[in-house]
Amino acid sequence: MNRRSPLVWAVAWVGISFLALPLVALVARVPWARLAEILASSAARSALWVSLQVSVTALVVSVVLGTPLAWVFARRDFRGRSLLRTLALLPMVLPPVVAGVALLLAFGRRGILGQHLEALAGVIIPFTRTAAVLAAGFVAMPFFVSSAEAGFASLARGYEEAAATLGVGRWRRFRRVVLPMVAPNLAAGAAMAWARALGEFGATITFAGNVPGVTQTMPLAVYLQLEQDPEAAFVLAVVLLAISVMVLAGARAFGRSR
Amino acid sequence: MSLSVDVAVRRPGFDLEATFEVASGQVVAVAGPNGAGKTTLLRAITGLERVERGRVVVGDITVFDSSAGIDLETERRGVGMVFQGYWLFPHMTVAENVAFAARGPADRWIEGLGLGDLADRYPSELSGGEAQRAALARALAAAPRALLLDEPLAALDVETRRQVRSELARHLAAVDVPVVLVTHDPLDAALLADWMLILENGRVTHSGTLTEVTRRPRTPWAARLAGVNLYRGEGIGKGIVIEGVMLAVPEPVDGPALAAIAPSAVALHEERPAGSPRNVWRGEVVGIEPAGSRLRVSVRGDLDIVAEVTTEAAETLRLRESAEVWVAVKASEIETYPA
Amino acid sequence: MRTGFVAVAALFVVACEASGGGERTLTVFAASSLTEVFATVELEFEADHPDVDVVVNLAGSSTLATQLLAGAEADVFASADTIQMDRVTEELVPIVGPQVMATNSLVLVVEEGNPAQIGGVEDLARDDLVVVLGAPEVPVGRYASELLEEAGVEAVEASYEANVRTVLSKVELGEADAGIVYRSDVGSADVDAIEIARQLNVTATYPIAAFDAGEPDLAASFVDFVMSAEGESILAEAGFTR
Repeated sequence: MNRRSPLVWAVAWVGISFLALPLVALVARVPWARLAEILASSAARSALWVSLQVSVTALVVSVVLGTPLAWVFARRDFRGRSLLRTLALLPMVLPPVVAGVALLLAFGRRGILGQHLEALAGVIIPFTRTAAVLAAGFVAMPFFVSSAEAGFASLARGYEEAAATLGVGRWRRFRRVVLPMVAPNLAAGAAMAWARALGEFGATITFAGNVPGVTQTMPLAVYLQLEQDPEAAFVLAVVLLAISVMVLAGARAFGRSR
Repeated sequence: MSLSVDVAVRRPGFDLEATFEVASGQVVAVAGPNGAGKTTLLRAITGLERVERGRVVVGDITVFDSSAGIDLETERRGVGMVFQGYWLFPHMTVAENVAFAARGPADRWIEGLGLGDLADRYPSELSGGEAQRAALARALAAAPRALLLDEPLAALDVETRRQVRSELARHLAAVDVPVVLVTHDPLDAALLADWMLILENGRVTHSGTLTEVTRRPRTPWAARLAGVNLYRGEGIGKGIVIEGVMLAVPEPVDGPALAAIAPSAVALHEERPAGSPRNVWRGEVVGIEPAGSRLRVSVRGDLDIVAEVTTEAAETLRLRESAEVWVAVKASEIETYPA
Repeated sequence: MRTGFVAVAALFVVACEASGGGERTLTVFAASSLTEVFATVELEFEADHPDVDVVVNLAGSSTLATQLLAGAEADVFASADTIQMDRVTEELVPIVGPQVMATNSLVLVVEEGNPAQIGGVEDLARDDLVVVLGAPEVPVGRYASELLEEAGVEAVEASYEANVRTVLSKVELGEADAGIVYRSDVGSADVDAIEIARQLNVTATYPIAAFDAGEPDLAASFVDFVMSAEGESILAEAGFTR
């Protein structure tokens, strides 16, 4: 079809404006004059540092736990597979605050597991860095698993079979044949997971609370600064936007280079 | 170091049983119609397919024995395989592919299979024939104790097939482990293998050299196989000399060569034909057999040959045993191969 | 297909009207510490004005102020401190007030049974306790930090929540050992309240103001009602003083 449909283009323009306008407005309203002062403030630097640590740790957890999980989902058939799969992907669509409540009920001080942790080992999870990582990881991991699973499933078995006939063992096959070939999927999944972890708010504030320097991530800082010093909130918001743009661009560049 | 195979594979709607042994340095062709189970047989030997019952011994190592509970994983069997799809690793260069599982330096294999100029190319940049050589080099570099090839020429176009076939014959001759080659093309069996098996519907129906198998075909498929007239001779440019008879051929060929003539391309005449065919000789009918809706006529003469004619033509020619006929074959119908 | 769409649209419009029944709506923004008490106020006011539907939006006062400044339409704003009220009245001119409708004081809440054996605010410096407070811009948080500064106590690694009700619920759920909330919040919650010495305690002032957001008369009536004797008794029952 070579004919341009004006209606389709018009609606598309409305769509892109809807998505782009808020982002443009954010950048436009940033108080550039106060940028240095705000970013240098200890609250901002602390929130940024907490965000980076929490999101990266959550990403690592997602990748380490998620890769074998994705492999099993992609390559093995077993009873209850589709139920477990649904469960594993559920946090993606769960409202974040619901996730926070669920985490409290599992790992909180009166939670199914948490109560025993406190009684036996004196370990308290809510309001700690660990809680922030759990909250971010809980919502982010399904993004990685979903993408990794698609990658593993779509890889033709022939390559692994050929490697096996060459005498190459399971682990080396995975490392040198499978991983390089699914790397784009893994990278895309990791980028999505990291971005989600970075932006996590509802589950974090419910389960990990807002402890400056410990669990006060950038999104929490933005939310609270909005009521105290809105301009500071705008600056932090635009920093988050910049990081998100870089993550997206980086993931796409990586995918393209393959 | 030989390869001994005795397997039974059972799947819903499919049933394969095969027993054979390949000596070191021998090449066995497994031919048969599509769906006969040839690929399954190879996969069963490598351990990629579940075997119900049987025993596979590679050299002096039993890699599979259902009664003894032995079932080695594919990577420990030492059975190399060149797949129909080659499965060269797309993220590695040819050199890296060959070196991937190589025991010892890979250069030997890269040079040996003429891949020197292609070493830094990626699989996506190779032609069909080049990819086949790369896959073969990769498999050989891993020092397998037996080698399996699944339809090595099927993915190539007709012109390339001829050239690659003779190259492959050279490479296989230099391999000193047992080789099993699956093909549906009798020419592969003739030119690449020492002897062959015919697999039909999951059972071995014939076993022996091509000549033995085609002399007395026991199944229709084998009979079709037998339908190729194959001769060894000496090429001298535009002609080939076979048992003292000179045949004109379309493609110049020199040195030891093979000539193949399809029975349907053999014309029979009552009298010596006038006109174009340059390859003409006299013969005597020694056998007539039905072949589907046509007749297969065996003719003994300067060159023994099998012709395929319609029943009407046979009547017109008044063909019967001991009848005298003239055989005519157009040069263009003769395919030659350097031997 | 077309008739189906029209039918649904008509139903939708009817449903919207039905909830109001041709009623007038009064929008009230109230601090979360006023949750229960304003529920009672709402009931009483609607009983006196049968054609009015009172809609109460509850949140931390700082959040409400931000929303009002961003253009949210509210007829009445009841804040938990004068700072948030001043933020709003700097930009929006009230038609009535601000007037102080109630005062409140702070109290320390701990898990029922006080298993951590907390005696007073000075224990909030213990590093074995999980402490929750209001965030600095939320009135209860500001009051609490004033109080702690007066007492010379530094809460170690406290979590700063967005409103006082979240502080209360975290203690109630057992996730936090101690928190500082308003006396009026304790009510029927499953927590133990520990008094704070009067000389340390702060008095929280609750101003209320009416704005012209389409129902100026109604807004003024609402504020009058809260400021009346009836309003005072409702507040007193809930733990507020005037």
